Amino acid sequence: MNTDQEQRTRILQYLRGEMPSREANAFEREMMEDPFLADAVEGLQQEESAFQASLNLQSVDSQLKSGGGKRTLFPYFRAAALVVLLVGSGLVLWLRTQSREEKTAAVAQTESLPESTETLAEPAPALESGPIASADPGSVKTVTPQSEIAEKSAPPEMDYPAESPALIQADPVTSNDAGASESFAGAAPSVSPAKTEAMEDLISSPDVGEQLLVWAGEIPEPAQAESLQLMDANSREKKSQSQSKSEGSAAPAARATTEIQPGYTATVRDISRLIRAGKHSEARLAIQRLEKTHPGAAVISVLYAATEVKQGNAAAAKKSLRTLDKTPYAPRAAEFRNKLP
Amino acid sequence: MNFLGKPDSRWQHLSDEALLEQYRTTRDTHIHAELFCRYTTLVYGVCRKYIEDPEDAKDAVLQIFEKLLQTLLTEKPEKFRPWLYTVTKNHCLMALRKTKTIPLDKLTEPGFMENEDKLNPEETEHLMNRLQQAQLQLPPGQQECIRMFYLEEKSYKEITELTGYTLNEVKSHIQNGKRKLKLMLEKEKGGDYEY
Repeated sequence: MNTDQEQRTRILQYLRGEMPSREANAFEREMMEDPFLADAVEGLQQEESAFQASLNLQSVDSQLKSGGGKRTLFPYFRAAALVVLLVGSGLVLWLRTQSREEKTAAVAQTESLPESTETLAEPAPALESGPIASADPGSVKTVTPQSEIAEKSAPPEMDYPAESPALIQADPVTSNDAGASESFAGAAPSVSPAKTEAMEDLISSPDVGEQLLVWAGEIPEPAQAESLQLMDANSREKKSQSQSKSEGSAAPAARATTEIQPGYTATVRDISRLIRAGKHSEARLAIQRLEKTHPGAAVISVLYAATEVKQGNAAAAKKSLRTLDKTPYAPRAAEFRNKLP
Repeated sequence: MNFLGKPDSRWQHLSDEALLEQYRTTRDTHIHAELFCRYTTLVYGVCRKYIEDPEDAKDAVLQIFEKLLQTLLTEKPEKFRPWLYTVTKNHCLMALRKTKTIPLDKLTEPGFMENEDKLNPEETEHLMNRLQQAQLQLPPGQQECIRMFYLEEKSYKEITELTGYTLNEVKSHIQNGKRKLKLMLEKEKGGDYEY
């Protein structure tokens, strides 16, 4: 006897076109004899995609499980609450591994948490943004009301459907947190409340990271034979453009993707865009590529430092900046190092 | 279903009808849920066929689920599965009648018409035995599709790729071909017409 799950898997496999021909033929012949199956397959075919079909079916599953009473809003509240919890707990763990130099008066850690949870509640549903550091000041204003946060952070009953779509979505968030905390292993153990607050500042107002990106944009192309070859006519024009705008955030309308274009200046601008978007692993790859073509270039260190600051890793950023010590950029690098906690 | 959403092992091996009997005697709603959930995908699929909005389709599934809590206590279908199909379809058609007219294309597709040509198992076996020879007498389009579908066991998709016919053309060739074959075989038997 086919269980519902088996049936579902088979139908979705067929609709995705992933069934081998002979098996599909047998399935089609079965449908000829079985109008129930035929109608159901026809109905599911009307969904936007097999994935959407599976989501809708899971939604029905969970609604049936909860007595068939409650309607659509609930699963999403539970899912959102789950995500907020995960991200919030990831933040707590991450903060615990930080050590900060005392700058301001001690603030209770619990007080700072609701703020960061609020900042996170906005990007959480979108789940596109990378780790915490990418939240910009603007999002604090579009925060969800406090009462809803309280409800989300302490859900009364959480019975998770076996395969919740939100769980699948939550994975990138948790794996990002894991990645962040791995790079912090070896940092000094305990975190005092004051350090936590300074760390908060670093995360929530990425001035230092932003300034580093601006500086990167201003550094002229290293005078090397290779780089001259790489520069095509395209980027020569863009170079004069980028010199008149200090922040490359208003990218030309034609450039809609995050592809890395050939040409030094365009590349630096693309990397900056990736860093601002929080796509740190892509940014790192791009910086490494740039390093191969422009080894020893000052901008490399600055870009690394910028992405590290944006990720909240002050120690790594300082290390990157220190590589500029023997260069004419040393004084400015030292300035930035002093700004970092 | 238990809290994990998996079929309960106590009832997994019982037939639909046995489970139904259990429900009628015990009135245990868990048993009802267990039975219904064997068909969640199919029921949703059918609802989604007739009801365009996925949210409304989901609602329909829930409504049918709740309606059956009562209905199953009073009605005693011989076979649960086809009965559930009828109930689902009727619910959807009634729901549509309230909002707008029934989309006619749902009722006149090849799939619907095919059921009128359904062969009983005996006829089907007879047909399959004679198919090799019989299909040669079919007009080209039907012959091609019948041969590829029944003898070569190719899927619709593969047939469309190999022949260049559209999916609907393939389906009607097969459907018409089957009807012709049935008539041919009946003529041979001596005119045992079933209309």
